[in-house]
Amino acid sequence: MTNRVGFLLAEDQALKNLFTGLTVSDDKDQARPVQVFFRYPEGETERQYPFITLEHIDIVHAKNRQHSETSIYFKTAKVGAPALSASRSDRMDYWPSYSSNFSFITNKNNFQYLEANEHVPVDLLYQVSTFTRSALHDRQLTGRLISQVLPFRRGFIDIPIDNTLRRLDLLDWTTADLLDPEAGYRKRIFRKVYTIQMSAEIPSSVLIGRQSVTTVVGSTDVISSVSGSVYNTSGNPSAEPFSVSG
Amino acid sequence: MSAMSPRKSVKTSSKPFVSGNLEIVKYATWLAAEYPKALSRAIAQARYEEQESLRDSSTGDPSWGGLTDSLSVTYNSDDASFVYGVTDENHQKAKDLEYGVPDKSAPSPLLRSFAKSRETDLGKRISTLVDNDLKGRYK
Repeated sequence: MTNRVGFLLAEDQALKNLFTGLTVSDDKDQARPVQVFFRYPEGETERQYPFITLEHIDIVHAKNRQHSETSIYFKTAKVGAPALSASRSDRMDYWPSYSSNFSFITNKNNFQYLEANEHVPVDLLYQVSTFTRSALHDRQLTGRLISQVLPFRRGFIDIPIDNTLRRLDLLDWTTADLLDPEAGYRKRIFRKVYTIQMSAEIPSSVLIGRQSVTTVVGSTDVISSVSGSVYNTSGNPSAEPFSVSG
Repeated sequence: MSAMSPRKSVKTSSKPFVSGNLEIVKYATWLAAEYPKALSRAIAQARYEEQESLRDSSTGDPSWGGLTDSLSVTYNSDDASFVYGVTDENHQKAKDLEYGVPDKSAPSPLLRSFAKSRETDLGKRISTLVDNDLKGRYK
């Protein structure tokens, strides 16, 4: 399957992949597959228990991860400018939900850096529900999800399209059993509802091509005899370092 | 005592340490006594404001509008958390709205969205209330 591109599309696909492939076991079937749907399946879809539904319920600005106005940079393959070390906080390695190598900028190697404002952090809230007809399947799925898929403190999710690992935190889970209307409200459907949070980012500016500074013309002289805190820059103002937008 | 007793020359006590600025000592003593009270008042005030805000936000939602008076915010001192919910006879109705009912209604996550959106600002609000309270009382 090709990776979906774009905000929410990439995240939705990754989330579905995370829950796809689970199985439960019982006396009749040692590996009963668990289907995954976005939203509760419509009436015309034959429901085969157990199954999981995914629902995107909210997007919240993650103020606790928001920085002040900051520029971030991607170093292109064009030679002649210093690389950006991995430890730099202003290094940009991906375009969120879109690309891990900026290949969509076809002329990026005309510039030495690509610059953007730091992305806006958001949290995506999803409701994940498991539906089973058997208490055994319910317990199996609950144990599997909490211990392996959504472990406390260590939850993460891989977003292949931008090659990022995002936080995936379990905020809440609750029991919300139902009576099956198709069985005349006599049979129980075991439902567990998990509220999970995925970290994400939204670009806050366009990408701009930049060249590195080639020459610094002029010198700096101290002109204040009081504290030395006032400076005068002299030199040829017409020969300032340049930048190019593209 | 003979010179064989070296402990004699070691000081075993000192005069009480007092800052050069007595106002600091006075304020620290006052703060130690008043801070817990100010924090308690701030939490109570913030809880009330949260509940009013939650109820206001529900009035614009036709699903939740009928449950406005049932919405509550409580403070759990055991784990220092605020709990947004419905604890009266409308509990099940609220749960059905919040998580949805298959074949009937999609989730309408008023409580989770509200709690999540307040995650950062609530702490700052309590901090501001404590600060204002202490500044207003210190003489």
